This record gives sequence, C-alpha cells and structure tokens, in this order.
Amino acid sequence: MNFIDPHIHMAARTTDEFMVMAKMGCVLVGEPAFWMGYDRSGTNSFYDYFRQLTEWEPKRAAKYGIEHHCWMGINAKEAEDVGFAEEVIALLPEFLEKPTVLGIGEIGLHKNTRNEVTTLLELIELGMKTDEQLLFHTPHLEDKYPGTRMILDILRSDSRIDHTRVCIDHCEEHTIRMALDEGYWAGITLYPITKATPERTVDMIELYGPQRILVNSSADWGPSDPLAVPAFIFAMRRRGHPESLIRQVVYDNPLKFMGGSRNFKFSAKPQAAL
Amino acid sequence: MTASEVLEREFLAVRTKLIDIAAVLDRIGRANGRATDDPRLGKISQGLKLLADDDCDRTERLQMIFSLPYNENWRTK
Repeated sequence: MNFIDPHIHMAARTTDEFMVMAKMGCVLVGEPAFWMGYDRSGTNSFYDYFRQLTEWEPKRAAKYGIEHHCWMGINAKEAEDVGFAEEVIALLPEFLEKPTVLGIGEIGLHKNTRNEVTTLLELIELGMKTDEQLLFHTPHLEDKYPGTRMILDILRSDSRIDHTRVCIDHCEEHTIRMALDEGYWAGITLYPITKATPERTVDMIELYGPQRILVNSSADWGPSDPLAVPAFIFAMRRRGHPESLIRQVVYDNPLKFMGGSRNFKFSAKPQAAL
Repeated sequence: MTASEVLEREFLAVRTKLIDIAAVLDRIGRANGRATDDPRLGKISQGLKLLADDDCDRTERLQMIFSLPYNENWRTK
C-alpha cells in the first residue's frame, strides 16, 4: 500500500532509509523544522537548515520517487530565548514562498514557559499574515496535557484561525479528544518508548474514527522508526480493518490536510510496495 | 472480534509485560538504598492499582497519573 509519512525528520536520517521507505510504499513525506538535538549557535545555522529542507532534501527524496515537503519554524526547544527566536522568525518569510513549504511548523510548547508562549504567538502572527497552515508540536510526557490545553487556549482566543488548517500533533489518549472536538487535525506519533505504539494508535482509530487523524513516525535522531507507518498498517490489518480504512488514514487524510497549504501540489506517481 | 478472541490474541503479550514490570520493581527493591520517597514510584503504584479497575478508560486515566496538572489561569500565573 502506498503511504504518506506526514511528519518525519529526514535531515536526521540516511539515504538508505529513503530507499527502504520507498520500497515499503512511501510516496510523500512532510518534514517539519525542528530541534536537531543541539542548540544552534546563530541564525546562520537556521538559514542553512532551512535551505537544506527546501533545496537538498527534496532532491535526495526524489531519487527514490518520494516527494519531500516541509514546514518552516522554530521549535519550542529553541524558543526560550525570545530575542534569538525573533531573529530566526525574520528569516521565515523568504522560505514560506518556496514551492515545497506546507506552512509554519513544528511550533508549540516544550516546558510550557512564558517565553515559549511569546515566541509561539509571534509565529502564529506570521502565519496569519501569510495565510499559512499551522503544525503544532505538543510537549513530551508530563508536560503534554497542560501544554496541549494551553495551545488550544491560545488558538481558541484567535478568531482568525481556521481549525481545519491546523494539526495538533503528538496526540495521545489523554489529548486526542480535545483536539478533534475543536475541529483540528490530530497527529499521532509512533515511537518505540514515548508517545504511541501502533496497537494503541489502532485503538484510537477505533474509538474516534479515521476523520482528521494523521499517523506519523516523527523519526529523527533519537529512538524512532522511519518504517513506523508501515508498522501501523500491519497492526490495522492484523485487527481485520479493511484496506479502504487503512488507506484513508495513511494516504487520503494526509493528502487532504496538506492540500490546505497554499503551495501544495502532489504529482508523484503511485508506486507498488514490495 | 469478541472479548475472548481479543484476550486469546493478547494474553501472552500482557503476561510478558506484567512479568517485566514485576522484574523491574524487584530489581529496584534489591538494589542498594531505598527509592520509596521518589514520587515516580508512587505514580507507578497508582498506575498498577488503576489496572485492576473494570472501566474502559484506563489508558486515558493512566496517562493523567503521569501528567502535570493544567492551570486554567496560566496566562496570569
């Protein structure tokens, strides 16, 4: 089955993994800008990273028939220094015009601090000015629940925001309902230790239905699996779910969500999974 | 799928996970010193008690045991 991984950090992965993903049926990836595992020392590092996401990674993916799209932003992990974050945000308008950019992301909260909120509000403001879709990172572990509620509070208080053009990502059992109830897309991330497993993700699909749910690997430099979406497909089949339902979650849904981006065009030819 | 069929499919995996948890708790108990004042052990204990409930929202409630509280006045705190 062809699939889309709507959230994966290929800049931290190998070319061989692009190849294996293609063999498993991957036709498109979405790569949000994120924290690369270390704090960058200046805005030039971000500039080069944004160039990597918009120029180099699409070429690397295309060699295996995978379309690469990306999101521009500054992750909450590097948002605590508000002045520095403002300098990075000033770089974004140039990149938001690139043809493979889907919007602003991943942005959000990490430790739910006042400074993180200040930077987040500036990123949302930019997104509203340039009519961008928004992709929100919700915090890890014990910070997820209050952080997700704070993000939803912020979004609820801004009447300009179209909820159907926003994804609340890294949802788990205690946060997914509130994202879906307010009309947002809900991302579920499959991680081997934190976040969700394929089996628990199938549970959430069974509980809430497939509408507005995106399943991703968020594979990066840490413990993670770029073949997590195929593992979810396998778990769905093992539970007896029909191919049409699986395809809706791993292919139709991400195409529909990405289709809300002003730049998005999908032209990849379907390829058979081995 | 019936409840019995789900149990048949999942039984060995659940058994393994429970034995793993027991082994970790034993390991902590055998180790030098004591961790009984560590609030994380308290959360684990709460979680294990919750598993014995019959309600079908145990996963969500377990997640809340391991979550910090939400303060609705966060903008002014």
